[in-house]
Amino acid sequence: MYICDIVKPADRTRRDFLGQACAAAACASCALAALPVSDYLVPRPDRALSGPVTVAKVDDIPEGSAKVVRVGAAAVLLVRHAGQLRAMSAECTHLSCIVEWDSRQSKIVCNCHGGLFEPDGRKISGPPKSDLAPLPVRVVGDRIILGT
Amino acid sequence: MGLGQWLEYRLGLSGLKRAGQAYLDKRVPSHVNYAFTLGTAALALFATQVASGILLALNYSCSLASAHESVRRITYELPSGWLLRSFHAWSAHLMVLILFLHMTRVFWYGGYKSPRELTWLFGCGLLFATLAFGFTGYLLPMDQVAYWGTVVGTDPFFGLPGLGDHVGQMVRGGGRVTDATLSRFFIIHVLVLPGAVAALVGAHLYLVARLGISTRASVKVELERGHANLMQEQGEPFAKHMYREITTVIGVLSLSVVLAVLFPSELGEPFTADRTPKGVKPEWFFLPVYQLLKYFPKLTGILLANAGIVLLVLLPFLDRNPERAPSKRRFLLGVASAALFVTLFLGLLGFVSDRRFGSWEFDIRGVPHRVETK
Repeated sequence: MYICDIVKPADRTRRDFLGQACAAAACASCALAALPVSDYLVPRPDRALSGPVTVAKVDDIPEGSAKVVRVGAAAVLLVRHAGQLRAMSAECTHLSCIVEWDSRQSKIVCNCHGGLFEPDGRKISGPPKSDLAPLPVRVVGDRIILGT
Repeated sequence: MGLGQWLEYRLGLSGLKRAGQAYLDKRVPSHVNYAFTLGTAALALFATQVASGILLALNYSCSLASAHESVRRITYELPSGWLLRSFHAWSAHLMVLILFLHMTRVFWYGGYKSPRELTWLFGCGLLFATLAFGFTGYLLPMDQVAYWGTVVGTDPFFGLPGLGDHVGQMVRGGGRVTDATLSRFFIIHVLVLPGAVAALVGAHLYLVARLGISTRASVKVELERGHANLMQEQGEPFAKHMYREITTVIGVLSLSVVLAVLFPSELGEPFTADRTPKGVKPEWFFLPVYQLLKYFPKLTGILLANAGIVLLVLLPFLDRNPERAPSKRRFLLGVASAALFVTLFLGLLGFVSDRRFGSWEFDIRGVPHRVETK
């Protein structure tokens, strides 16, 4: 008595068995192929900020203003307010729209859904769930350097 | 041997011709009316979308740096390019609208009940594929609205529990909307989805031809007496209904051309990844979900939207009432009408949110506030 006799009655033919074996092999092949294909479709993550980089000149950002700069693929907001220079992610924590500086109310706003943040990136109101991610920044001479 | 015989010997098309003529003699229920032509209208629109889409793709450049310029050339420089693009855009809107109406008609007449459950499932697949057409096509012009609409529209994928990062990265081709996003959206729009829709339409039409259009009789009566017998007693030849189908197809295509001429598609300013414009919103058919996501935390909103989709897809298996006549399904039709009203209302709120009309300004939740007018 063979295993196929337990699974199916004795009227199962070789053709039935071969057909089912081929179907099983095809399914197994698709499942195996899905792994490298899935890896192929998901690219490597964007490289995180590595090493300090000069992003702007001090004169580019007068007191009470802000500027969005690109560091690789990331958008960074530089804000000069109350004598302090801060850097943070410019991507709103709600749905990744780019935030703007509102000089009238000295706040950071998101045009998409009205998210409102303090000049240091702390969330005030609106749909965003968290603060804007702070980034290390320093001034060396007349250059604004991002990263440590 | 004449040409006709030469071809017939090799292709054997006379059998196909006989099947087609037999189909014209098939009977359909006597209650079919113009509402039963919407499926054919959607199919006609799909065919014209493929044709106009191929023509547009011949002059389209698929990269972040040049996509907007190629669409600008098509719209403002190439002869009849503006008409082709506008026709493609308006046909897309009409296709989504007609599919919603077709689905509503099927639901109203109980056409999803046994033995047509698979027809409904393939139909749901067609609806989702059509919405995916709209979603992927939206990005291609690469203006500010297209880019930021896609940023906002793809962000919820990252919120999926567990697999969010993986799925989101797969959809965008990375953490952000880049060349990789445009490439995969373009390929999905012009290769993957047309192939999927062609297969789904084939399966859907095969089942419609095989099982016939549902009658007003209950599931039990149709099972006992047979659809063919019921049609002999109560039906009319399909050839008679075909006149309605032809009229609707001509009407819908003409409407699309008229809309394209009267309201041609414009092209916004090229996208910039450093500035999000005010008032970014998705297409009208995504507005209800867009608005729903504002009232709930991201994950809750996504789960609620998906729950609605799951209920819709599983409808034939959840609705155990064997009756098809609307008068014998009042409760379900009442619930569905309420759900439809809520969906339309959410869409309306999505439309008016962050907009000002006269002295009324609507906030992001769609709540109106009176403002001083100078």
